[in-house]
Amino acid sequence: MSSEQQNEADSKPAVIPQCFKIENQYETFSRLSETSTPGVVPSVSTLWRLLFELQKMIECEPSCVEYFRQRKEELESHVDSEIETSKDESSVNKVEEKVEEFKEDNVEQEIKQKRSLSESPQESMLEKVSKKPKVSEAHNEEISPENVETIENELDLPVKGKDEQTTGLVYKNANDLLTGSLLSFIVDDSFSYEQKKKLLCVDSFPTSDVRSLVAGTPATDDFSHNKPNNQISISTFYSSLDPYFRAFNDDDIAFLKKGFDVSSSYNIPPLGERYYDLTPEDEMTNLCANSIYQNLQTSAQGSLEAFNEADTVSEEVRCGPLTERLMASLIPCYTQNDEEQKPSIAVGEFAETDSGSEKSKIGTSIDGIESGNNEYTEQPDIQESSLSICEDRLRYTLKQLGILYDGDVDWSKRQDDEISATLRSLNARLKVVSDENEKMRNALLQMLPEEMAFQEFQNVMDDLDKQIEQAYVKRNRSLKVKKKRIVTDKIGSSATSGSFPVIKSLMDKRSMWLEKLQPLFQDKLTQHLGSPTSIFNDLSDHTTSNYSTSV
Amino acid sequence: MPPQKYHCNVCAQDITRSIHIRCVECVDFDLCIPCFTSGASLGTHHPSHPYRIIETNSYPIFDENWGADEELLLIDACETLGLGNWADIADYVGNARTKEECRDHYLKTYIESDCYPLASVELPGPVDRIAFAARKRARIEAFQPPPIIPQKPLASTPQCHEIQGYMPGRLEFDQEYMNEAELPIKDMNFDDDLHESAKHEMQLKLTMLNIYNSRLTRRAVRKQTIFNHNLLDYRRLQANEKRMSKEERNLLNKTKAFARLLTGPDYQKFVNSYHEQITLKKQISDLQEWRQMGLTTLEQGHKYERDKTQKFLLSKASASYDKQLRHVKSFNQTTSAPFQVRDIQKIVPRKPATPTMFSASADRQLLSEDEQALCSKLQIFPKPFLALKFALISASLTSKKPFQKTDAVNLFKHLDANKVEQVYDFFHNARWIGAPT
Repeated sequence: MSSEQQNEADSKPAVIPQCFKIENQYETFSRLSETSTPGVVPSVSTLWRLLFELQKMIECEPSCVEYFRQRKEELESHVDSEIETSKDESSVNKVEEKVEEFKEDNVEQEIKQKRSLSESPQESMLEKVSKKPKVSEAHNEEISPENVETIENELDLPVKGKDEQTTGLVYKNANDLLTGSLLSFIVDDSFSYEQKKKLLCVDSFPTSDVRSLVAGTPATDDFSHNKPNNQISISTFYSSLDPYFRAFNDDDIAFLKKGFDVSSSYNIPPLGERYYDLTPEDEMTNLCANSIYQNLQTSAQGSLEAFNEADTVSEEVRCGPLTERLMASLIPCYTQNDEEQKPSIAVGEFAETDSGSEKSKIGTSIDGIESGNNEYTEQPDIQESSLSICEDRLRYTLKQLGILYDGDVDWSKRQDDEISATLRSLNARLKVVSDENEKMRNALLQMLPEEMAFQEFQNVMDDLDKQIEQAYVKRNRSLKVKKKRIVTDKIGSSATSGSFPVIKSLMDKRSMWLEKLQPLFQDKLTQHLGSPTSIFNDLSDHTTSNYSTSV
Repeated sequence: MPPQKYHCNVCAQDITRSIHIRCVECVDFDLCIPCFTSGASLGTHHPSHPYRIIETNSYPIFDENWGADEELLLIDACETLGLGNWADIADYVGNARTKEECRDHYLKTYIESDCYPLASVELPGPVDRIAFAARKRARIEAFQPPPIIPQKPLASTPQCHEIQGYMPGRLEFDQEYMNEAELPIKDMNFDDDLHESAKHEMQLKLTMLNIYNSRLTRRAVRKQTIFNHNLLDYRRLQANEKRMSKEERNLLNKTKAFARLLTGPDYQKFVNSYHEQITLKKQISDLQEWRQMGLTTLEQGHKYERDKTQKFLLSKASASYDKQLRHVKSFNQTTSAPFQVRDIQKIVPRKPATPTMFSASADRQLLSEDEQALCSKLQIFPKPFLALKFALISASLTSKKPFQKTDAVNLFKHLDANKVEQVYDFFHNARWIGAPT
């Protein structure tokens, strides 16, 4: 108490807020420790404060040790002896000295620019610490430049350390208080593994997060609603799950290999004969029947000479299918002036060739006719000729050009109607879907053999587990029965040792299976999980069972 | 609910929130101002006894808007009701404080202070108590207490799910997979014997614990599959399966085993590709049948399907009733009618075409959209239009002089001149009819 009073008296003349903080901490710590009497249990708030102060002092310790080490290296032998004498003091005095050193650091921070003023309190503090009344002037002169150097060197260290510590502490403590976790207040990443074990009072704990071993994500919904009226029984639910968890077998491989037969869908059959069974009640159906009937007619009919208004709403005047499709294949060209000449030249050429053929025909029939007469005869020729003759002539011309081959064209195989167009689009879509499905099936086929092998491994492990379990239960039952009787130790030990080799062999077999085969499957599954070439971007969630080896 | 309550020992009035007098000699004897003024005496108390004036703590110390009495109430409430329970703390403090104000004030004053867990230095300068009291009175008058929500009784029913025995809050089932895995473990205990037989026993027990752990892992893997594919939504899954056809249902059951190798979206993609193949194959087979029947438009195909359904139903019904046979006979008679109607229509003059009739005409697919619009406008059927097109283009090609509009009109003397001119303009714009150079 007297030493504490002296320290307080010494600190009074240099009252600075940062110094005041440390003083306040130390005073609160001493007051709290004094208030706690051995007979009375302290309150929770008092314990919290004690723990907080202890943690602060522990965190202050390394910087003090560093400070002492630096000063020890730089001061002369006389100063070293002084520090040694100070170290010989009791632990309480050491704590006091550390606190005083922190005060000096604060003083240095506050009075950076005024070095002359900082020297005098430092000297006075050094005198007080060493408890030597007099120091020669020569020593003062020698120490002052070194003190200046130490001040310059240490200007950065305490500032950074304190800023980080204070901000971290405040933020951390606020969060920990809100969560209400006392352990998280004490134990954090700054502690080592050994320190954590001591603080948590455990012998060992996992170094990685074990959240992945639990299925599903924790639920934070509101479950205060009532139970639904008609619930599904658990047996019904589990029976519905059986198809999902059945074992793989060869039928699954055959199913994936077979796929879906879509070859018959890719051909478009020829157009059949007309459909007679439409009812005549509706006029539209009659018209449909007529249109279907006429749709199958391939011959041209009628002529342009008798073309009148009534023919525009009937189908009696028609070209042949070849002429119609040739007319339909013309593409309109809405070009500008620069490109007008080209198509016009082409049209002119075609006209010339056609007129040439016309001339040859007319020349063979009539001789000695003037050019005016020629023009006059061409127009009546077109008008008088029937459309069927034009169709035949067109076919003949195309055959000469080599576009058409000999023989009549089978127009029942044409595919330019609406149903054919729909068939083509559906077939294209079917091909895309079929290819995609095949890729998926191939990806599954690659995964399946490993899964079946792992399945066999699990079956073997299950059998071994059941045998060991049965032996264990049987052994326990026999031991319980024997304990009821009065049996000597010899007989008991012989009985237990007698039944142990059987279990021992089973346990050895199990550990051998685990040791030799489980890493094999883990490696394969790990490699499979990381494969980027999967079509699905498969993220198989089949986690391997983590068998821990027996001790 | 202040921590301490004071009552006047004479008139029993509550003097907690007002200045009162406390006797120095008597034990725990308080007086209100009126009783003290009147010189009341009771028991051993006498007006001549020395007294002490007790003042309320209603002045700010840390924050301009929080009095010392409120600070004490806040700390006491935090200690008794628990940190974080700000609603109850605000109710305890009273003085028109909301839970947000209490939380913010506590964090700012005590948590974020430099002297944590104590508050910082007090307010500098003199305190205007009159202004503080006025602000407090105004705040109390303007305060509206939050609506009291009647608390429903929270019954503990963890199995509140459509599947009986499943606890959604704990993600657990009443009956787990391998539910009897705990039976061998429940009676196990470890003794501190160092005999050889005890070591064997220890080894056996540890093996049993490892077996139990492997079963727990197996259980977790199975449950993970249930969660990934959302199999707990049992009613929806069953309704979807009922909606499927028999073929689709069998196919789905075959693919269910692969669900645990895939994620939820991947499995859905896999199953949907199968269903799409089935649907496309069925549609394609229908279209193939329509084509074999000689149909060329989808509209005809739909009518064909309806007629086929009607015939099927009629043939079913006619098997058991004689009346239905008569209907079938009459139906057979009517099937021959189209020929007669067709012959009659040749004699009777044609009706003007309607847009509906035009849409059902033949060879419409050979025309482009512009041509279809022109035909619909001019009331010309596709086949005559193609003949007209052939005639005009041929005349234009065979003519040596430029093919004019008047020539087109002269070529078709029996047609409406307006129609021929519009058709000529259409072809001229498409440059199918042009002047040779």
